[in-house]
Amino acid sequence: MVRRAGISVCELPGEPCMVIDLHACPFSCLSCRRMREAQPVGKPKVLVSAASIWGCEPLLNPECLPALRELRGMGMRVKLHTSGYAPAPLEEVLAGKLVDVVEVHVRAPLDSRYGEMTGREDALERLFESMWVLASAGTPAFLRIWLLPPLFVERQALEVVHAFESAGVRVEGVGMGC
Amino acid sequence: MPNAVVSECVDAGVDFWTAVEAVRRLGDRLRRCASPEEVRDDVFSALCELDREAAERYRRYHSMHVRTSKNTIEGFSREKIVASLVAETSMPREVAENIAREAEMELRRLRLEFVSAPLIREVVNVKLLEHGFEEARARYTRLGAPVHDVGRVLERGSSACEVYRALAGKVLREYSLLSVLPLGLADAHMKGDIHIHALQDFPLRAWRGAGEPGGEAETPAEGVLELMRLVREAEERYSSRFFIEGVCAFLAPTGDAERAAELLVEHLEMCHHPLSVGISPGEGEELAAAIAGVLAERGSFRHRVFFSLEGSEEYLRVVHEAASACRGVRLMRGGRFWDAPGGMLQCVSLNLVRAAREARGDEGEFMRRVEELFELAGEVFELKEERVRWEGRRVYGVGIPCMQEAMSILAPEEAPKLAKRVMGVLRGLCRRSSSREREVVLTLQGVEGAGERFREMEGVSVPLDVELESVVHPFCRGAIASIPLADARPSPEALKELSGRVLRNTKLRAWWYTW
Repeated sequence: MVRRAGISVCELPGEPCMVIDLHACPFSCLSCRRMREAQPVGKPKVLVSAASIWGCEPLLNPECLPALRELRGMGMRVKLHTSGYAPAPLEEVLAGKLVDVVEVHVRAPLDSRYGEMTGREDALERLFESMWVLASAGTPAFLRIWLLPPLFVERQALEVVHAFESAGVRVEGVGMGC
Repeated sequence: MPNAVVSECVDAGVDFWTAVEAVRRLGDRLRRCASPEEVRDDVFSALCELDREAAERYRRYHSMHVRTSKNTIEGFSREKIVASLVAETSMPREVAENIAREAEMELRRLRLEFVSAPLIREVVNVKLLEHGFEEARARYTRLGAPVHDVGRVLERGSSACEVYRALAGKVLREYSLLSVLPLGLADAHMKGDIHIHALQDFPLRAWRGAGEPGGEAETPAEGVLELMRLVREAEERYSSRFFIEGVCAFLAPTGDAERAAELLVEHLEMCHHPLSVGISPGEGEELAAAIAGVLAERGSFRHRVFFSLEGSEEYLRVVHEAASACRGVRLMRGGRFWDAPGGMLQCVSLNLVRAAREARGDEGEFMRRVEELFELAGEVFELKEERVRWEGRRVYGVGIPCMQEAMSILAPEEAPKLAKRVMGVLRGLCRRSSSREREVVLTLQGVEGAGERFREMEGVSVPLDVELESVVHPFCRGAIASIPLADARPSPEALKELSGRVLRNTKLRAWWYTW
């Protein structure tokens, strides 16, 4: 089930967690730098009680749902990273209470450039859908905004945060990177 | 002399009767010649009058010179080859003369004006092999490094000392393999069945050491100087890492923790010999925390510092700040890490992965193979004993890196259980090989390089299994694990939380975080 894993002490504050990389990505983002591969750890449950699922859009990976169920079965807290491109699987996951925190990765301003910069025309539409799903589920969210100056700058990032909050998403933190 | 001159002429390809005639014409002049060069000049002139072509052949024959290993240029002499063969390989003179003659013919065929001493040796070695003198070749061969390799060492070496050490190490390693170890053990090392650590120092000194300063220092400066003296002594005695224990007990009584910590770190940083420093807050928490503080501030340290985690919350906070900032920081359970006073004379690591692979899932066969490897290690220890003088009880280490890989091949489903059985067997073997004067122990400390080598050779690497490591560590003297993190910059608080879990949920004796 687990392809690559490592221990992260930064993903969930105060709680060392197992990182699981279920890579699946529909995008060809201009800002993308493939997440550095975590060093594998065999049976990290001895040291951790939480897990973080990485992989750009892990919800598109067929192994994701079974993995989330297995982790929940082990009694672990779960954080899910998503690009917002898979609203339907996200809804299923949130309805099943399979994750505790969602981290949404936003890689372009929320306008017509979103499709161009991610390489998917329907990317923005799907991100908005995911936003509504998150808002209605009430699951805490963390926003990871990948700036790409001059195409995507801090001012536009603040607009992203505002859009999520306006939609009713419980934004508990924002991180920005280039 | 006339006979020798005729013989030289014939060797050079001059017709016998022409040579005799030339010598006859020279008559008494030959005896008046002061040097071989003068003789050759006269013979050449005499031959020129008789046969121009023969004279040319004679000149070419004597124009081959040797660039010697003493950095001089001398005329070629077959006799010197014969003498060196007899002296270095103890072969009968007649055989040596035959080999030297063939080597000379080979060299002359190349029509070179200059040949080097290494080239002559290479050609002589080929002749030795052609005649089946393999052992003689091993004794006669030259040790060293290809020009390209020396160039690389020079490019990469950060200091002259490092370059000297690398090049000398290369020669000494080859010497150990060729001349110190019997063929069977050298082959076992080279094939990767076992790994004999620090081969360059095998005939010279002990593998790794441990020691502590006696008494209490009066001032920080005095104390640090005493520690430096200890390190200098260790450099002579040990080839690998030297573990200094009891630093806090020694320096804490000076009463100036900040100054002592600064001086200690500053001075140790200047030492080239790899060091590990054991820091126990039980022996002086203020100093232990100050050392951690200096390391956190510096952000780098060339040596390893083992911090015991038996201290106050504030101490733990500073230690984890150091762990987050400085790669040299190691964390450990208990007050002391190294419990082998004096260190280890030699260490041999066993390739358990190969044993597991060859056993094809058969536990009994695996144990049998492990026993065989253990016996090889025992033979190495015997040899070391003959080579290096040692006072007191001799401690030998059997490295067991790659236990996880071996278990994953042998019984992936019940790895920890099997590991426990294997460790029991290995401990039994250690006890059987130990006596009043000698102790054989299992170790995981300082065998990471051997582990890398085995993994690369066997093409297998498995993730860290903390549960299995917890089984292995308590059996070892000196055991450490690396815990890989997925974060780019872990915070000290988060590391402290993780260390708490390591202490509570595992039996790891020491560990460090990598990211």
